[in-house]
Amino acid sequence: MTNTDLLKLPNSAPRPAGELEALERIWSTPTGFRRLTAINNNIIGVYYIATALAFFVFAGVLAAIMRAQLAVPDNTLVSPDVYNQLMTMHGTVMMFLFAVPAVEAAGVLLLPQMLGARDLPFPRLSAYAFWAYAIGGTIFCSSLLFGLSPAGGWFMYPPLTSSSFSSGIGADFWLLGIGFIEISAIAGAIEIIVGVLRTRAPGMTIGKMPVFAWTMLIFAGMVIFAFPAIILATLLLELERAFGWPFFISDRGGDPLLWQHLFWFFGHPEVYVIFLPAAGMVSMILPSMTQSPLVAYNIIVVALIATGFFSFGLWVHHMFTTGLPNLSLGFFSAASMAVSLPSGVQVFAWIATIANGKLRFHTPALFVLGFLFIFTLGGLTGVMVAMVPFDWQAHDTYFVVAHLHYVLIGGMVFPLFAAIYYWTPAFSRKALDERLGKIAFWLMFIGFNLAFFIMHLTGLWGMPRRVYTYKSEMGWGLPNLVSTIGAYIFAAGVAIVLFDLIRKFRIGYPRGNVWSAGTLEWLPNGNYSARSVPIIRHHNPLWSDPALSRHVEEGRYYLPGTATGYRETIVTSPVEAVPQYVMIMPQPSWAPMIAAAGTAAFFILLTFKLVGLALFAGAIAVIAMIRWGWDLEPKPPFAEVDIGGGLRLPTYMSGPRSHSWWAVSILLLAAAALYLSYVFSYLYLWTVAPGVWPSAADVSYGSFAALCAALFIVASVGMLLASHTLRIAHRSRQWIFPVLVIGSLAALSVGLVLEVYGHWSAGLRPTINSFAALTYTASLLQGMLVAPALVIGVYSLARYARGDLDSNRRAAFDVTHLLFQAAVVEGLFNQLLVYGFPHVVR
Amino acid sequence: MALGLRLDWRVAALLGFAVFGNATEAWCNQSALHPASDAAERIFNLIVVMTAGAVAIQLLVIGLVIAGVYGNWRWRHRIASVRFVFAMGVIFPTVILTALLVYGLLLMRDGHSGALPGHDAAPMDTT
Repeated sequence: MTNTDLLKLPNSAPRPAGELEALERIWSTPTGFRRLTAINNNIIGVYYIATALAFFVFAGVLAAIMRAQLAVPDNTLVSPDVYNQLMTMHGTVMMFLFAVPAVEAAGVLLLPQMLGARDLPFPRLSAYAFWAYAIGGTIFCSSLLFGLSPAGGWFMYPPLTSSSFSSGIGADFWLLGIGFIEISAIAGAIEIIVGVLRTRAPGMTIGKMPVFAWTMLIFAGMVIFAFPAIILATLLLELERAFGWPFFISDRGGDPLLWQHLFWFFGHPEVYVIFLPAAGMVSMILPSMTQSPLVAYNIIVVALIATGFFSFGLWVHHMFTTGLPNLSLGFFSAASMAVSLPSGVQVFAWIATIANGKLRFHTPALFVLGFLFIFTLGGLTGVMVAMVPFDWQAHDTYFVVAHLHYVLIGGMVFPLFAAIYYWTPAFSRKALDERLGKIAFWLMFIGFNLAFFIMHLTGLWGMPRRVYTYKSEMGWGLPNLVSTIGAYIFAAGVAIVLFDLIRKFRIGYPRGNVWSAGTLEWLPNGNYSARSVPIIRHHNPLWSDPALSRHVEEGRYYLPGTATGYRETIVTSPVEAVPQYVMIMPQPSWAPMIAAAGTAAFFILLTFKLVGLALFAGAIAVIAMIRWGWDLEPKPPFAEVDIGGGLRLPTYMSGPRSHSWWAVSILLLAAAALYLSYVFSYLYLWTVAPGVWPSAADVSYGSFAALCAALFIVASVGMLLASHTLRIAHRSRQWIFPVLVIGSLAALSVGLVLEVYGHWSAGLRPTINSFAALTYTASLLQGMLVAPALVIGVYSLARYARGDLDSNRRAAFDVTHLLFQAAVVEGLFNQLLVYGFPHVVR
Repeated sequence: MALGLRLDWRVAALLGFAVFGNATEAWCNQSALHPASDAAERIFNLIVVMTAGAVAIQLLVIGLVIAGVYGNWRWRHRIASVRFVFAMGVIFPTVILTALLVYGLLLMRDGHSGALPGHDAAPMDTT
């Protein structure tokens, strides 16, 4: 470090008295009962991971019961129905309540520190996503205690899960509960995308971003595009079960295979959604363990992006035995093999990194090596099942059970446990015990392979999946006993890790950089993350500048205190990470938790068909959300602040550069994905049952189409005018803006009501056939955009009345406007699809 | 059917019997390792080829990890390069997987004639 380098530091030391204290005060965590109002990522992130681990243990216990049942032939430990519930809950909880939330939680916990941000951009949204998941997930799991759990397998195929064959509320629990938890996942994904792209430390260009941030970015992008498919699928199946709208009933123009397409269009990317962040963790841990930079960073990033794209083209490989034409099978077989390439590249890049340095055999390194062994084998059996003829033999046997556990436990659980050992000292006062960690690793590694390797053979010997028992003359007794013993050894390893976590993990001033790692999360940090935000010039800034930690802690870099007196973080440009503005962040609040409880209650009460109570809970949720938004965007005390080195940044931003604009745009991408899934379903069912589509001559239900379209266009123009009025801000004509907004909201709503009335008055009923059901679904989906646009529209008007909305501070209106125009576009598309399509095809 | 592959099957079956002595004739009924039709026979060959390939690649990966950790300077230098990552991660799997895909597509063209009469799957009580 030369003197000229020192001169480059933006701030001088020592810092003014009281600066650090003010920073600590504004970022302090509420104590006592009010701790539940905490929204800071180091608190919510830890709760989030702890909850995910609790669900992991719960689902693991279910697996242990199943393994006990299967240990010997002709066992009667659990009844067939209980077994089906155990099996369904095990898969569902592991996938939806453990794997996806666990990696999302890791993102919430690690990303701000890793990127040099004070927190993620929407801390209250993180808190909401966490509480919604924790409350909803707990109620979902408790259904097992009452014997009310779903029993149709984790992928819930109709017709088994239709009301004719699963009449209890178990399936509704699944559909509403999982649909709701997916919404929480999307909320988290929006947060992560904006966080990764807009809150990186100055100078951390996208090409210098840690690989974990890359994987979380791709993870979140995949969630945005894949999860809407399952949300639509659960919506359709629930509509069919509750109201008899026939989407999957073939007698009335539906098709059960539609479910499989929608489910796997979500379900396959989901595997990579789980795996990619875990791979990102490995790419962070290995450089520390070997004390050498990651080899082939660029190739790894390209591989990650490629995986994200490929993973959307593979879903049919779950359907090789559904009688599809050979041409499709060949295509999806090839695509399935292609996706193994980017994973293979990463495996060899990790091996290269190991060879590049000197591997230190700490516990995280052991878990990473275990991961390499298990995941490679899982990838190889994945290539085997991607071969269509092999899949004809192995489909629905224990071979597939073995494969998927190799990929998921190998690809996600082992890296997660490596991550737990690796990052605990970055957040906890004490590190975890190395000796216990090594014992735990060997128990888990040996137990896992004992339990699951033999299952490949059990499967090839013909044992089908999802059976509650088997006859002794089948000869599967011994391999199953081995699997059971292995599973219990694995569980013992997990128990040791949990024991050590409970004993050692304490939130507080972290233990620090015990591994001599090179990335920003290892800077000395408190609730506010790092004291000051460094300028980044290298992939491993702590290695390239040994004085960095000291300078950061002394407050020599940007934003060493609080510039506005609020919580705040620096927002930078998405590619080059040039500082753009200082974002004022919210304080702790009860609102996110109450909103989450209300949302969870809404969905759970709907399961029990208590519509009145459900609406009441929903209203509480909406009120809490309005309360939550109300004190965002406080009027900043200064229009611009100096964050150090003479760099002056605005404290407010609206329009396409603002974080709120980004978040809503990403939400609209998810809405577009939902709508595309709907269009796919529409066209798919038309190809299956064109007979139930009306001929052009009797499109009498279209009498209102032109009127609706006209109303939508009028509403759109009205809103554009309102936006313009706000910009020019006539002080004398303040009434024009609210009148335009109210008029536009009214026109949009009336258009939607007329659309539905038009169908109804023409005699169309959603229960008669799939065409009618899809027609009403179109309006329902549009309603899902119109309703929030109405709520936020009224909210914006309230802010306007209070004087909190003007030509500068206009984010609330911009958000409404984006949602509004999306609702208009969807409405116009609906007219084309529902009224125009029959004209085209007949 | 090539004699070599038949022998492979016998070795595998013998191994199975040796390890799992309790296995009886019955499990062969629906075992993919006991092909009873021409189509199943062809798929069985595929299973043997792929298993051998998977074992070889798994051993290769383990070997490379060991070489990366304990190997001498020359070995580690060779492995720790972008060229190695590209060769092993892109070129090698592309060649292998293309060959495998062609094999699979040819098998698919040959068709899937299903189980022979009298070799139906054993009845299972799955509720």
